[in-house]
Amino acid sequence: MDLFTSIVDMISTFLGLGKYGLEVLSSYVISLAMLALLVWISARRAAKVRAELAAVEARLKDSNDG
Amino acid sequence: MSFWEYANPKKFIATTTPILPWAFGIAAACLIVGLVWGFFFTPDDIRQGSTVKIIYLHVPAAMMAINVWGMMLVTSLIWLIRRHHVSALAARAAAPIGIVMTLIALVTGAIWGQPMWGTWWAWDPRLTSFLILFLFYLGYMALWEAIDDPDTAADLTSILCIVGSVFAFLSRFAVQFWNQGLHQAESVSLWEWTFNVIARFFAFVWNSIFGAEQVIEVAVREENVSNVFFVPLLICMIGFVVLFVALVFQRTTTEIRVRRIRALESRARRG
Amino acid sequence: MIALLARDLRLAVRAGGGFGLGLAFFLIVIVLIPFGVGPEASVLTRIAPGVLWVAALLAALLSLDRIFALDHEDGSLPLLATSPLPLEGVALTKGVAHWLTTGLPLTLAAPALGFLLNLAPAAYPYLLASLALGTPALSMIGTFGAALTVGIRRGGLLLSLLVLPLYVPTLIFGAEAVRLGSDGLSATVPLAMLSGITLFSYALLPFATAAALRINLR
Repeated sequence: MDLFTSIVDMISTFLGLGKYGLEVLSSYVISLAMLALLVWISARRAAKVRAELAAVEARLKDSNDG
Repeated sequence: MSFWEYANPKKFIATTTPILPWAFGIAAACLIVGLVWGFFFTPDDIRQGSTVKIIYLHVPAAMMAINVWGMMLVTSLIWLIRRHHVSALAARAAAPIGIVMTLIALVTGAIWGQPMWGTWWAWDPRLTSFLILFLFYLGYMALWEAIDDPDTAADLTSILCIVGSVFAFLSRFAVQFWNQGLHQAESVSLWEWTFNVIARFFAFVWNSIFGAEQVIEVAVREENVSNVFFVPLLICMIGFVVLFVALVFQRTTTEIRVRRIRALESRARRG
Repeated sequence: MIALLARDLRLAVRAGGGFGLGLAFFLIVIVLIPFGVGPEASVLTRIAPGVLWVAALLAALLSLDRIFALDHEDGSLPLLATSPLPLEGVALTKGVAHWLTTGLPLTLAAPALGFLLNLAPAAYPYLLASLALGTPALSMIGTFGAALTVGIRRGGLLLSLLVLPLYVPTLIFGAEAVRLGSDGLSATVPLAMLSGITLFSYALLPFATAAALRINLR
């Protein structure tokens, strides 16, 4: 904990955040992480569904031809 | 050429797919510029210190939390009245975005409240309303997941969204009545501060356009509220809106494809 | 409409489920509270209004999924839909029947349980009045929730998730009325708001309920 606080203090002094460094940094980190997670989940699901649809369409086309 | 053409799923995908990279790019650019600007190049507030930097995330997220619900209400009505599937799917695609926005607003609000009010959570009317909104999003998403038949699910969630909007409105007033605000006059309020920033900016613009004869006096309680906060805040708001639009387009496209897979598979099974 | 009401009441009394169970649940929750917060009388007096209202709300929630479940299982719901009575009327009747079997007994039992929580003497009329005015709204909102989840197997949990946020305004004004009453203040405003919510629910929610039922019966 001591190490953690001193690291946060170091960073917030470096960024000029004063005594509220932990609050500001953590809210930025948490918010951006949540946004990134949302974008990542959406993108992954989009890619998966697109591949699945392509597979289904290809299979149906094959069975129609054959 | 009518707006309703985009209710055709194919047309919707064909139109939105080329827009997507641009939308994500613009959103990322706005967020990076706005947040970096806000984080590094705006001064600290005298009373709030550096916690004022949280507004660049908190305020846009809170704004989107409400706007997303509004968008879901509109798309639900369009689905019930005009039966466009894309509309119902867009509402479904938007709900998880809305819940994340609500969560960001709640978490950043709690982190801001800790040093300012001395507590993570206060049953302040505004915070409480957002918590209730969060519950509404949860129920709405749970109902979508619970029903198998897509049209039934779309109908029932639309009705829930409409009834829920009415009750969310009622809750807002009930909560205001229930607790007029722990932190009214004596302590800082993030929202009052933000409104001061916005009001000050528009007064500034008005005064510089119309000159000295028609100066608007803005009742700004805090002396140090200044225009330097407004531009990065506006850029962040634009970034959040564009990000939301991009995500809705992408997620709606995904939902359309899921629907198509189901349709193709059931057709194949029937022979 | 009256025949349907009588039938629902008869069923509820015979099956015994909604009638006794809700009351027993109400009693148990109230008995558990002092174990949780300690037996100190002044503390109990202060939290009694809110606790009584929350417990009554949860007890009303308990029997919601039975409103349409039985009719759905034995197939009488489609019959009701094709009967000369409009579905909106059915929804309204179901709400009233639920109130008569749950809300009304809860209201009548609440003063007795108020003694257990050392409720301030001045609060009793307000407790009765607020529950009498507020629990009908709980029943009607719950009927709407039950109509949404009628087709879902094991929809009970989902039903509570959907209905509880809708209960917020009713709970706030109900508990506030009792709290003001116990402090000896005028509780006219919350009581008026409570009646407003109830009237509003009975005026509009039957339509939403009927729409949800039609969709589920499609």
